[in-house]
Amino acid sequence: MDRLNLKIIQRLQFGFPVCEYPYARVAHELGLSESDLIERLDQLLYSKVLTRFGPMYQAEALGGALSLMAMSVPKEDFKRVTKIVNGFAEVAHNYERNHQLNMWFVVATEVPEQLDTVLAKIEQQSGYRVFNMPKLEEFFVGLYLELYPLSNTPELRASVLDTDVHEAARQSLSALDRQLIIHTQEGLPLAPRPYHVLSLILNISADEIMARLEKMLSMGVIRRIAAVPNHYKLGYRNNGMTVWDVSDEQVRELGKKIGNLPFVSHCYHRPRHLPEWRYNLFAMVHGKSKPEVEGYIDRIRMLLGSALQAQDVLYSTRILKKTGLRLDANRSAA
Amino acid sequence: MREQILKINARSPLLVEALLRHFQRNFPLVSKPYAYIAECLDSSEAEVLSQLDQLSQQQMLTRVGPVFDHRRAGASLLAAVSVPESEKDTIATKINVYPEVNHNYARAHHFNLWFVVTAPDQTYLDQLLEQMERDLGYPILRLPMLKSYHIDLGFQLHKAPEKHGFQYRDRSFVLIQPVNQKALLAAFDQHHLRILIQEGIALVERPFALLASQLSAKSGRQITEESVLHTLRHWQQTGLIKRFGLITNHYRMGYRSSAMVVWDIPDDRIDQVGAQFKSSGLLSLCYQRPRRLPEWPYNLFCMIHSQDRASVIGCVEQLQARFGLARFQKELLFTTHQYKQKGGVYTGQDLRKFGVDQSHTSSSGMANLPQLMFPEQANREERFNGQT
Repeated sequence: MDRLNLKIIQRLQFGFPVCEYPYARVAHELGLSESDLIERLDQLLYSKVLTRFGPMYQAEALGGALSLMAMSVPKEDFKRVTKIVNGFAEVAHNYERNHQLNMWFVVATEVPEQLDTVLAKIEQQSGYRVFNMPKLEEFFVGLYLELYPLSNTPELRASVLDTDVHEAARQSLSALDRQLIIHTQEGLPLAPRPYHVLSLILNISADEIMARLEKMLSMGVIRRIAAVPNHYKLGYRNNGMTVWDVSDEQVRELGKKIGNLPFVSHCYHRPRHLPEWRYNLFAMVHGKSKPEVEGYIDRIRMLLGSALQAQDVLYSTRILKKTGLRLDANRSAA
Repeated sequence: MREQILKINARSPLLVEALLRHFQRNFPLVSKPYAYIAECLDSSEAEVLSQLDQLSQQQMLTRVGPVFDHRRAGASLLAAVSVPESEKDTIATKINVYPEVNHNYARAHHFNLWFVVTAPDQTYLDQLLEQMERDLGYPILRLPMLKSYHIDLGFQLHKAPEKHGFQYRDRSFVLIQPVNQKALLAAFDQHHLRILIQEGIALVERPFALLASQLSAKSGRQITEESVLHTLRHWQQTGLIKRFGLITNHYRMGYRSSAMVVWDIPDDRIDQVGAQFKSSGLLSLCYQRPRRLPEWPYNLFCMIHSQDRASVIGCVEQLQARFGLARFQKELLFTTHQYKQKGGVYTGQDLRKFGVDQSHTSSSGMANLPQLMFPEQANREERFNGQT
């Protein structure tokens, strides 16, 4: 991978500005030309090194719901079940993992009740039980791979605050906000003035587009406007979903500690499903090699100390599906 | 040939190149499309409009607009006549008079005039051809398309897509927008839009608003720009429109030589050869048409456009060698003159028979389009006679 591309991805993981010429601004910061940046982003998206570039919407803030689900599927039936699961538009990601529970997928729906419907349909069509593991609490969400030593990485990292979504946010989304979301789900236009392009699509002023995006960012409806790399293509082939059984009284305090570790991209408290599933704390750890990931796991183990009762790590062995969150354009605002 | 285009448009060669690269299809169906294009290409609306106007004056740009799917838009036919060289221009002029003729070329062959006729339906087409035969005084060779193996239009969209917004597909500026079925034009207005847009959209800031005001004038009701846009997007997403964008003139673009290459391929091999031709990347069109024995033994037709005669011949030789076609009879019909090239006219000419009260009240946005375009209540016989 070209070092300049790594530098671009590293920078854009942390966010993209809302201003008239945002590409020019970022390009200047990185010491390259605006057109070079746009051309390179186009290439990175086309070659799927970046899975997405644009606003990252919070499903909950859009009034939707999100949950992690897992299944145990026999090898000989895996292909059929994959097809069934991937066939649901609501399934955003699906990974094969090396565990008795070998299929793990994220379901995103527009309304919370729909999660149960999807779950029931998958169970019915596949004939296997689906374990629902919605997040109970979130300690950190981000995917800040250390790709390139940018001098301002610490500040960038610190600038990305984990905003809590206001309860009011969901109600305050207007029909126009919804249109804006629908038209940016695929990504941001690769043109010098992307917000002006959006203004021509939506027939409202670019200033209003920018104001609305800023507002959704501050409300947490948009986590950030950023590039989402395909970590496999960047050499991060060892992505361990580490799962921990800690006492429920301590899970919050410990979750926060783990979420602060630089090699952890996501950290959640999720429900147990006894007797099949005893783990209540999840942390995604990314590394270029298995020993690297195992080193990180040791650090988490030390951090948990005596609170730790059991632990496991699930590696993804295959991406079965990966798309962004989708809002149905043909539905009107709730 | 690229150099030539760029030289002619020395003022902003990169803009012209980018316009041609990105917007021969995927034209943005938004209120201010030229401003949108300008944003994508880092230019200004005025500059984009002025470049397109210049291309249009140089006749490189035929129009900006839709290309309709022949089969869904009505009936069409490739026709040829064999006339004495001394009469060729006169007959060609007679052929051009018919608005239903959208292409008319002289080719170096015993059949020396080739034209394409489009009509609302088969009956209209048949009657028109009989009339033309009487008018021209020569028999017309009728070669309808039986199968399309290849049309060089690249990206086509026949299914309503799930994803909307700006997309990175094919590294081009693809904009896919939701269609609001409730915002579609009524049948009567769709019919008129279909006629108005055949000549392309105007090079003005808001061409669809202009179309809306023209439609309003026709129907006597207020037609919105929004409903024009939704209708066009609907036509595009359902496949009635094959592509929307800059429609160029091959010859003026520097493809100075073109030939229709016809082959006599055994019927049991023609599908295979059609697929091979498509994959070769050497031709712009490839169709199966019927043989008309004894005067016409060929069943596979392809169009090859290139910078000169030698390279067209080179392409044919490559095809022949690569797919082992040496033993099959073939002919190259080089284009020697272009008498006419425009978009297809599928709507018939006389709309006086259209009772405003009959169709404009339809509120169904999902009407059957071909039927919509050519409603049964229009008297075809009279329409046919009316325009001669």
